[in-house]
Amino acid sequence: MQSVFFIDLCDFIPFSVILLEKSVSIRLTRIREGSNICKKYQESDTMKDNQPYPLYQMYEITDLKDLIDRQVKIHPQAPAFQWKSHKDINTKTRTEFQQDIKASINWFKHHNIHHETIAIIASNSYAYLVLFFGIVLSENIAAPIDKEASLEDMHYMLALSDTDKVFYEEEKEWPQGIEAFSVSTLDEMIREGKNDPDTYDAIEIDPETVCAYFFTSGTTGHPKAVMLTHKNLATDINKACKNFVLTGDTVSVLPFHHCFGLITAIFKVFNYGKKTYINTSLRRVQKTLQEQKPQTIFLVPLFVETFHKRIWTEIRKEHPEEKVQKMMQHSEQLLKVGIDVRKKMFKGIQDVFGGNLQYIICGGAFLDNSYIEDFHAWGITILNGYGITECSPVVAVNRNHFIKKGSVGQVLEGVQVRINENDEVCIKSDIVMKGYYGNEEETEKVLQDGWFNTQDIGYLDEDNFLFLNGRKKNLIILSNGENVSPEQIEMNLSKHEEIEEIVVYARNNQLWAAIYPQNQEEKTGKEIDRIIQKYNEDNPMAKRIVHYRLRSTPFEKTPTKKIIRSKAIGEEQ
Amino acid sequence: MKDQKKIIEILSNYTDVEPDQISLDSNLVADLGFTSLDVLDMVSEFEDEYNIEIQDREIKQMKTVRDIVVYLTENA
Repeated sequence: MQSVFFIDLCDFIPFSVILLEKSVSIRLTRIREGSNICKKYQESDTMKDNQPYPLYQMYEITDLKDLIDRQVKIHPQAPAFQWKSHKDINTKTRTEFQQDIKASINWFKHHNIHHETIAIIASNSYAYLVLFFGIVLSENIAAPIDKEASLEDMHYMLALSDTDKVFYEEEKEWPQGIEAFSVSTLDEMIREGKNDPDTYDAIEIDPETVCAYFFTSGTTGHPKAVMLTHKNLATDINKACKNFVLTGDTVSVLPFHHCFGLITAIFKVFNYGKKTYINTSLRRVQKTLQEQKPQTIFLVPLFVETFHKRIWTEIRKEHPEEKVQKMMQHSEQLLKVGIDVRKKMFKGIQDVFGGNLQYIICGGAFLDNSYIEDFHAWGITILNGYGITECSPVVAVNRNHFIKKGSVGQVLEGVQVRINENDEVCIKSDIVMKGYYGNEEETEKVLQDGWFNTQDIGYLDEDNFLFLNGRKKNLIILSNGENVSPEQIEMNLSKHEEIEEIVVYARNNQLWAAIYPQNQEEKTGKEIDRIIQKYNEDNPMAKRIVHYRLRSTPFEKTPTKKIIRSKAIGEEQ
Repeated sequence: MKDQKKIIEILSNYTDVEPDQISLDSNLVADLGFTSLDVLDMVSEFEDEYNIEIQDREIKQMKTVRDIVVYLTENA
């Protein structure tokens, strides 16, 4: 991280008069901000800071083809995606993106591939996006799968979704009967597909058709395939774009196999007419941000927490913490009277993100308010949101200029929220999934009369802002947005006879385990160590068990012989 | 062994723990408070510093400072 430095407190005071004038222009900027998008908003602008104001008005797409066509119509030559390969920056305009999608659709038609389920198991790339659209616009179903998942989990998800074909980045032992292609087949698709007669314009999309399966951790041990339709995705894109307006370019860092990383961080940005720089590796994220200078980034809390920690580490090396805290308090006080000195005072911190970063849209897991406050003092607004794969995914998000502390934002237009007798948040809307593929039992548990039970505990305020304060289901949500089912890991590890009983739980945002071994012999302890190491090697970093402890007594159980989790975790904490 | 002092100096950019408190047995996650993103960024920094390429599977083996020092001694 580059050095974080500040101008001294006394340096900015003489600027306050000039900045008073600047505060007038802040308001003008906000009105200009909506100029491409929301005429109605400008006309009826009665906005005051942190008060309700009209939703941003945008053209509403009907399906994912409409998303592409509309963008090509209004911004044909505007860059859609950029990425680096070797040392070169590649750019694709919206028209070029559409042409590549057309070629891939032709390739699917030419190879008679339709009504099939096609998994993509790869890192983020431009090819991933073309393939996703090619699949869903040629009457197939796309199934994005985590490329870091263990081979066993991959096989499970492929079987669960009845996948017919796989596009992979890394060759593996695929289940029998599945035809596998490298992601680089896209080059061939573009070459071959270009020569085929164009079938794109004739495509008619039924909005009710299921077009994607996204996998989510099940509470009973195995992942579930969430069925989302064109209408689900189109509605979520339309409605989320009304809560928040994007006025600059972005850098994508979240994995595309997550609904938030693909639908929110890519498709919504595309719908705003803005450019996404595709960061293809989680290494060097910070360097990419500094080079690309995004205006907004979409993150899960892990990133926010990591950046926050590093910024403070750097601050403490160069300045007394109390002094910086005081500067932050002063800048917040000045802001209340319309003087914004944050850009100047905390330039060093702004430069960590490239210098233009205005918004971080954060979702996927709980983010403590202290991070939001610190970033705000440094001149970067974090808009907390709430999404769940089963709701395509965004349900609520704080608005550019209407933010409520501690909330996960204002519920999207057209989304009905009901808090049931157990205080669980239930949702009815066109964003709610069709169900879990091949799992009617689980579908019926959460989806009744069109109401989806999120099993998250919360309440709504008078402005339709959602506040969450707990979870009924037994999922661990790590700050990287990964939903981890402790039971799945427990089931996996207790297959080994050396592990008699095991409870997996979260501590300091990491996975810990308490194990009651088969016996107290040293060789059993060594074998358990080997089992945990092997498990860690086979699973993504976020799902690793960082610590475990061997117990000398079994866990306390219910009369039906189930381990009392809350008690077990309480003992370990 | 590779220059241990230099390696610890790089690691100290990701943690509040003072360099003289970082030992070969310090666990990156449990003792130094590294997140998974810290580990990835740290690896990139070592790649640049020693002009090497570290594979993902090798990163999974890096749990302590010693693991890094040994890896760099053998590969850089």
